[in-house]
Amino acid sequence: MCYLDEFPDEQHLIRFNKMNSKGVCGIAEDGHDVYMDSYSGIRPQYGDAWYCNLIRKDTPTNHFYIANPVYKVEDRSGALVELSVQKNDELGSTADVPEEESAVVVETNESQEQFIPELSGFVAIGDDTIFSLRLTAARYNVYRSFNGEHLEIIPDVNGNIPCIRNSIALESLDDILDIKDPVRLDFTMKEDRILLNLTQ
Amino acid sequence: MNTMEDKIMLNNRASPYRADEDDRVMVLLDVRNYTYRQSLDYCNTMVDLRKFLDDRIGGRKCVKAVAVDGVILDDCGRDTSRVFHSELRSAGFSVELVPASNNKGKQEGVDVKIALIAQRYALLGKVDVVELISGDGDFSVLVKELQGLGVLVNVTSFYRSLSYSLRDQADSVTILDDEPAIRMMPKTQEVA
Repeated sequence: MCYLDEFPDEQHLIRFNKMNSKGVCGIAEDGHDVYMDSYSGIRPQYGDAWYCNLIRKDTPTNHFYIANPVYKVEDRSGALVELSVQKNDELGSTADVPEEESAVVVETNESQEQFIPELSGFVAIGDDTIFSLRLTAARYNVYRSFNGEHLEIIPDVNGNIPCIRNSIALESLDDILDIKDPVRLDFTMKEDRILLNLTQ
Repeated sequence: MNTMEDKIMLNNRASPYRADEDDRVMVLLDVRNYTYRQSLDYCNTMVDLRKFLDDRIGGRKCVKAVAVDGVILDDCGRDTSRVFHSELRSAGFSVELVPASNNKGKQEGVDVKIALIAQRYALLGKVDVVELISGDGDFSVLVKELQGLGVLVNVTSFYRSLSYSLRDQADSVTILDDEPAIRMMPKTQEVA
């Protein structure tokens, strides 16, 4: 258990898109696991994103983080917050953004309109995951080219890739992309098929 | 020439028939030429052959899709590549097997068989477009003959196995290296 006053004020955007033996957990910037403080009463679902205060806990061989939830990033407006932060950071770290600053982006219509074209693109957000507001179908078939330079995403009710919250997770995608930070991917559309260019 | 954008541009430009859904298309696959380069450059890749064929047909009317391969028999008299041939059939190809034409096991009859099938359909006026999946330069003569009969020929091949003569002769060229045909799997979650 961690007392609230132990948590630093600094906020980090944590996406809870990892499952392990302890349930759903997030990934910190240094790649280590983040667990929601059980006394907060919040049980994050897979795919949720939260702004959290983090406190580091060391074990003899490793370390992890306990998170105190501040507010949840969700739905379309949430996505706007998240990606606008990424844009401000030039697709770098999404951390250290004051809550007030993000809230302004959500509440201002002009800002939303400004970012909607940006959001129509595709972003590889790490952890073998691609995010886009264009990913609206329930399931997809995804094919890569022989040389690994292109990815074709085809909506299919019998597809083998589930789409959860505008995101698809593909086996070994990060190995193909060879990236660590989120990166925007060029794309072209042909009817309902999406062709992503993986070369950066 | 080697990017997807170039390929799309080339397809849109090269063939006025390309977007016509009423076109009758025949797909001819030179199995050895295709699998040899794949095994060299992209080993351990599992191609979704059904999607591969669908992309070649491209929404047009498919008259016939033929995969031609040489047959090598094992000691029991069974086809050594029967599993792959079965996959080709499942994907929609009609598999034509040609026996080895000499005692060294060289498959010289495959090219002749492909040429005969293509020319038969062209002479009967049953096909408008031939999708030839091979990079073998020997087919440049066949391509020229088919074009003389009013048939458009699109050649599909890996970049490194595409002969210059065939590339120059074909109406349009599709580079297989850029083709999304390998099915991706969902990320498996770590479970206790």
